[in-house]
Amino acid sequence: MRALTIAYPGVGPIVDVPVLKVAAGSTLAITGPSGTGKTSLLHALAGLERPSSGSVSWGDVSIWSMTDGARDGWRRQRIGLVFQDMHLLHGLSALDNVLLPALFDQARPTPAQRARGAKLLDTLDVGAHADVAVMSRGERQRVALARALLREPAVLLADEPTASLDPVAGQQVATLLLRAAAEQGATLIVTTHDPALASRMGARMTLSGGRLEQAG
Amino acid sequence: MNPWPVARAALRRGWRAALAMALLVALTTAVGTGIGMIERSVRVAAARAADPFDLVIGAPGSAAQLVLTSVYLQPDTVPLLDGAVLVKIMADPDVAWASPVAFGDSYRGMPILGVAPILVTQGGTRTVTEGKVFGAEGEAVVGAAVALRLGDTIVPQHGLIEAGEAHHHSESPTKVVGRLPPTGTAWDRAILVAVESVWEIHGLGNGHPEGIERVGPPWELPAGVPAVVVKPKTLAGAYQLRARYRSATSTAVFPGEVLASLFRTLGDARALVSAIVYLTAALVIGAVFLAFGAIVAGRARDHAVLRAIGASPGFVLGALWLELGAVLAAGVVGGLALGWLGAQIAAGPIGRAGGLTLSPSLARPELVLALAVLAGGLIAAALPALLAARTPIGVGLKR
Repeated sequence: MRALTIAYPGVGPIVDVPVLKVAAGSTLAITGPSGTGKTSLLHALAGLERPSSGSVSWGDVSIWSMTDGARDGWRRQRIGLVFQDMHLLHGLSALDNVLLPALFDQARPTPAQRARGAKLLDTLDVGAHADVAVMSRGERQRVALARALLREPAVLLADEPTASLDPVAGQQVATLLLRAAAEQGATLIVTTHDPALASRMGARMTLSGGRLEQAG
Repeated sequence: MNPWPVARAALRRGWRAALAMALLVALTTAVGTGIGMIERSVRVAAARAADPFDLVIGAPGSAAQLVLTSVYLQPDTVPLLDGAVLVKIMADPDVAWASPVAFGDSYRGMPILGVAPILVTQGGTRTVTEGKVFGAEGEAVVGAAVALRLGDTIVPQHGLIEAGEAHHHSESPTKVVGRLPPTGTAWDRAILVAVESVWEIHGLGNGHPEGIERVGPPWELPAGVPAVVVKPKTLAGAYQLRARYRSATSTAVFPGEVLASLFRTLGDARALVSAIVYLTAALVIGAVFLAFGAIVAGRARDHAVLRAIGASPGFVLGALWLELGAVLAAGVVGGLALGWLGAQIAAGPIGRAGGLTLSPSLARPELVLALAVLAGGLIAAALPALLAARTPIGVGLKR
């Protein structure tokens, strides 16, 4: 990522990062107070929110030079996203939520995808056919993680994945995130307020005053 | 791409709103299609009822009233055609057969009609299903829907009083000797007797010279009658007869022509009803548009998340369209069923009021209305669905 600037009208730049390099397969925590632009930065990295200026490259691919459709396709194939509020679809079972990304470009999940979805849920200790509406927040976050992992993404981006969980559930999700990233060789970037989660990542940076700085 | 599971999940989550929208669409469709089915079945039944009556001749007056009283047996007072004109009609070379229709008496609300035997058989083209055609005064042939058995005896009463005090012709008991096949018209509830019986009951003789007791023409001294049903020999003869008996002493009408004229007049009302039905449908589609727009706006974040995890704008659009399409389709199909059921229920009392047997059925106009509601709803839904699909992901995630 080079010369990335994210600004809002009348506010001025909230993120101004000259350069950020993340090695493939590494893990990085971005910390910082609320409202400093951590989520906006993550969205820019994921191709969700266009930065005011600068570029984001994953490997040789400059994602903000792509057409919208091409960027959607790239994100579908390469990025796994986990949100603070999970955003599962109520009305679908845990397994159906996990298999949802398979429906974006197929009529139905392949047997291999179905088997992987079931295995992921089993690994994360969640019932495949349970109704997500009646699950605990910790369980729902694990389903959201399984959904992000279905396509074996090269990059896992998690926005405050433990913020709405109690400490025990937060630790479980953190462990699962790190284990999944390690098993898949995926790059993992999380934004977090949670020192316990940040301390378990390979690198930590703090976003403060729009600047990204190396954290202890 | 398969957005149906997402649409299905949304329907499960918001089933109350979906049900309310489907019911709204169903009621609109039901009212529109039900009215259409009833209106068309009335036209068909009315035309069918008029079919056997090529030409009706009566005293000068309203053509519509003449047809309504003689063909549809609607109770009304009409002036009598002079007996001399009846004699002239019976002898007319353009007439294949003719029969007077004398009404005014009844039995338990069912009209008693004095006619010639040839009208019972429609000039030999129809036979009774039971018994025989009356051959003497004091005998009757009943319509298919008359709840009397062969051999039953009735006492005619004056007028069409279904209950209460009435003037009975107790000196003239009449025996049921035959039954007609069903026609789906008011004649199914009629009791047909020799016109001589009607004249005799009212002290007008029997139309024949003193001492002759036969029934049927020729009548040498007939009393006046409300109407004469005429079967012309030819089409050209029919027009000549109509022209000939449109005079100072009589009027002649083609019931089909009168019916067409009535329907033309009613056509304006029909157009108004159609306009109201389509306007109502448009209002409902507008309501669906607003409701759906509000629902879609409330789910902006869900759509953004779908887009964020890889769904294309087309996927989101498809999910929303399928969701509303399912609601509309359920409403339209339910509305067609409800409209059909309502029409079947309403056909009974409406048909009885007009003396017609109505058979409402679904046809192209109803399907067109249903498809218009479906298509209109889907088109109306396109805008909010498109806006939802095109909303930038970053914007949606922050809502």
